Amino acid sequence: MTLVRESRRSRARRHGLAVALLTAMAVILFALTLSLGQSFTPPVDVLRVLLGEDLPGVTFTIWQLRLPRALLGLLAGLSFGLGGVVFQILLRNPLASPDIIGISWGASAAAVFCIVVLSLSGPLVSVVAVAAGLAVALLVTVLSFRNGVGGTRFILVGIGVAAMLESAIAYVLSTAPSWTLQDAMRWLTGSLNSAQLAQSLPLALVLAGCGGLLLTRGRDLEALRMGDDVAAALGIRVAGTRAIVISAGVGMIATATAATGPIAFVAFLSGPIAARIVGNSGSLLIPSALVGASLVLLGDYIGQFLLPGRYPVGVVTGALGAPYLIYLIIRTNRSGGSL
Amino acid sequence: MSARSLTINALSVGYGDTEVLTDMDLAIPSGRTTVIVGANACGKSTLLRAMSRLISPRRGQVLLDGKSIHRMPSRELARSMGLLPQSPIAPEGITVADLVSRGRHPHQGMFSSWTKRDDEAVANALAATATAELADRPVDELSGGQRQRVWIAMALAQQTEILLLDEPTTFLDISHQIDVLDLLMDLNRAQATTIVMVLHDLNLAARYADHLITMVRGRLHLAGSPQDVLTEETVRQVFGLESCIITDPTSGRPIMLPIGRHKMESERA
Repeated sequence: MTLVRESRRSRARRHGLAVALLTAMAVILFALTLSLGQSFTPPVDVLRVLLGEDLPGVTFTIWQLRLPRALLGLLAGLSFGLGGVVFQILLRNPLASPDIIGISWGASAAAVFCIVVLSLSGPLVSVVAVAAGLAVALLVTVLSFRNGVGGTRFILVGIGVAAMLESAIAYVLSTAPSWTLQDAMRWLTGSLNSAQLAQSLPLALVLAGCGGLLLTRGRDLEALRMGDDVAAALGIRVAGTRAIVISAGVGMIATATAATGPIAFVAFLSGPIAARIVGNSGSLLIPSALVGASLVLLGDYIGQFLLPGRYPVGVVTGALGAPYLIYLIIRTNRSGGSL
Repeated sequence: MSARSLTINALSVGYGDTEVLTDMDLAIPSGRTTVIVGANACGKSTLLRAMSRLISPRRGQVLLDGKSIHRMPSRELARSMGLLPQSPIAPEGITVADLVSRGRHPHQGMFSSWTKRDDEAVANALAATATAELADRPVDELSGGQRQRVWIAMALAQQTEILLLDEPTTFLDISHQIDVLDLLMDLNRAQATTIVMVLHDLNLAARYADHLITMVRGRLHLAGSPQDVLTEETVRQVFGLESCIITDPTSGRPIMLPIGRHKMESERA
């Protein structure tokens, strides 16, 4: 009895500590993005500007350049991290993240088509991107359906669909009359370079709605890790939970993708990194969202200032993610490992 | 604990064009151990899955205290009936105490906090399965027998009056098979838990069942005490095998000895 209580409390303490640590990390990186750029702005000045003071030179830098970038990076990172891990948990495979199985690419392709070919902009692009993300999720489900949704088949079909969508994006970009390298990079690997403050609002709303919904399903998702049968025996409506989680996850991922492009591998990496930090002390949802935010902010900072030349964030996260993907495939082949 | 009645009424289940269960009528004796046996693909696992609502019937009903389980809220059903499926998945690195705690799921609300009753249920489940000393060990480091005990502990933490198990002894060596079955019998005797399980081994089934059910091609064949059900005639009809039934000198239960084509004694003669 005391033993049970003790082990539960020590798990809870460990989880709390991990969440606090990851929150601190995301906050520090956010602050870093605000005060470090081509020039250093003391945090006190940043705060004064944010509170409405007008400091010559600084005000423009913060409100027009750094804040939109930091805010969009933070929100997109949270969305990718949370959206990615729920798919990985639901399908019990780290390869099942939306950027591997084509959902992000569907949203990206739809967004690039709307912007380049139809000359649309604003919230409509996000709506189309979400619809395309859902359509891809549905397409992959239908194509891989055989007596129920099979995990591995689902992922392999998804990888194929992702490849097709990637080439579709490249095609649209190459036929566009005036595409720039920066735009192309945004839709192929993700970038915060064209961040505007107005982009953050819809993303924040979707994150609050879909993310909140996902958090209410946290416990059910934990139970689903033990297999559909065990989860059903524990009183979870498996099909209903799956539908809710997939819709909310796609909504979040697609909205973020419409704003920043599919920032490479963030959705894929966040869950496994969070799992290493949190261990089995509790839910991975919040830790993974925080890891996603840190990855995007850190990746963007590295890409802008620590490398010779300036690279969009997706190039950096892509370089981090690819070796992990290879490691994972080798390890999964050996042990059939899960998240 | 109140005894719950579990009955099956003209149940038919199928996938696609094939019908796996046809017109099953069954009453599960409450507070007893019921074992279902039959040849491969006779529908015994399907029957267990239909009883626990993992699959929906084409026709007929599964009734818990006279109410169709398909009309009950999932969590309410999960507080009355537990299920240990054939291959549950232990999340990587999860500890024994954590896994067993998850059996409390149907007793907890979406954000409700962990209560003293939950702790008690988990502690009792660990004690009953002799896994308390493993509480902080990761499940994936345990032996097959220990792991099966831990899964049973999770089902116990769920505190249901009815427990369904799909081949709980597969992949275990004989001493661990006996160990798991003894454990289930303890539970049944101590807490009057109604146990329904599918077993592969006919002799273990006859040894541990109060009530033995045989199935042939998706239909109920016989149901009754092991002494009444396990006969040479039954083995012929259910498994298509010639056999000789003797009585176990220790338990007094019937034992099936297969005859096979090579009767060594007579061949030598």
